[in-house]
Amino acid sequence: MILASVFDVLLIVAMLGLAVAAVGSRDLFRSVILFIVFGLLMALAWARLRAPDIALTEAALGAGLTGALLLHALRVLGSGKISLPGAGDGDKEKGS
Amino acid sequence: MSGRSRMSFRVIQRTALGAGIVALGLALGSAVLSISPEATGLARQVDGAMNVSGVAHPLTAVLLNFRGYDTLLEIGVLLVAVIAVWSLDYREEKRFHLQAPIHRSPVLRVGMGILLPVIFITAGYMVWAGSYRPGGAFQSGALLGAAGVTLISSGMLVAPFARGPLVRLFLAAGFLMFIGVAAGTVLFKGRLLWYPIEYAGLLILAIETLLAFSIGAALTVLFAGVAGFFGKGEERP
Amino acid sequence: MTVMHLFGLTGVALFCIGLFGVMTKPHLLKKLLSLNIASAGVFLLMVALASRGDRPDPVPHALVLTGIVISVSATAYAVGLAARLHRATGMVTLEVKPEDDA
Repeated sequence: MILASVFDVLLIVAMLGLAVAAVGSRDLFRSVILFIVFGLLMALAWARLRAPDIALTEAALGAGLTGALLLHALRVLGSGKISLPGAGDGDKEKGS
Repeated sequence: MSGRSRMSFRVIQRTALGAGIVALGLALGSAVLSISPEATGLARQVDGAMNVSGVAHPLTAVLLNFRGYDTLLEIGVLLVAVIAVWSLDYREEKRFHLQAPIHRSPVLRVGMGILLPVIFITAGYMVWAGSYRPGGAFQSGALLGAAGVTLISSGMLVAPFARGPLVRLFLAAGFLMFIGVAAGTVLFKGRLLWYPIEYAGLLILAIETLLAFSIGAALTVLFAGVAGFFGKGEERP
Repeated sequence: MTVMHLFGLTGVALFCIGLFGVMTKPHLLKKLLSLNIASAGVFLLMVALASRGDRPDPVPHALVLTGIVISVSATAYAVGLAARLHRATGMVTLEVKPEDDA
């Protein structure tokens, strides 16, 4: 029981840390990779919540397909313009 | 407005937004904490109706039988998404080319040769297993979609996988089957998606098999359609 | 504090993190990624609620399962829209031109 709670807490801390890092990172490529890892941990969370069906789907879709889509998009969109001249703020995110 | 005051305005704006979201999180969190740990869901009702569902796995019973209407519409949404992505395409020649010379790599070819049969067998098993244990059309379709994405990413599935009639047939098969069964139940039983008990298991298995193909094809086509926008050298404006 | 509460609170936290990202990050792919994290939070809360009792409730599981497939297809469509926007304007954000919002 204690072991399970320790595992839960570790899993949750890792998930929250990955989510914050994926949203906060300035590097889009790093964001997408962190998001894929986050998706894989979500699959673990589903298994922990006794939802194996969702875990199976999440492992293939949430992490794999969404991540692959974003990675493909990044090749072109990652180097796109963030803001028009004059509307700039401190939020320059660089692509891969 | 000077650059400096614009900057500090943004900082204030950002802080206010952060505070608002933290407040929202605290409110939602206290709501979650106030939820009783006692089960109040529909697990008991589902258990009580399992003997008329035609399958032995509760989730499959809910997806394909008790809430079959939801799943029917969900497949419709998936088809609409495919049509929407197709309609975004600006190229004249509607083919998914992702020129990737990597398919000449022997390691990749052998690796895919080992991986793909395993994926297909697992996907087939998933549909079958769905009637009595975790598995079913969605998991199987997700696996098939993953196989399709792997094929496209590795450059093995290129021009032949266009919007041909075969792909369209795969895409529509699950939805058509589902609608056909729904129409049949309306005609013969008078209620939408009320399967006759003796055929329920068979009907669900048939729908699930075609659904798995359709979901896999839809996910592959969605990925190919969108990723095709980012391919190089095929643009014909 | 049960497992349900633990994962339910995680779902709320993920939702808030994603919401913050959607509202503050200018890059469209970043917005999409944040939106996916927020929806993962909602799914997590729903499944956490379903995990109460000795047998998990299959109805929220079915909703989340279809929801995951739908959110993937919506993400694909959104990426396609972003590609079209990038092609048409060279932009990867939704920021309006300075003369428009004056």
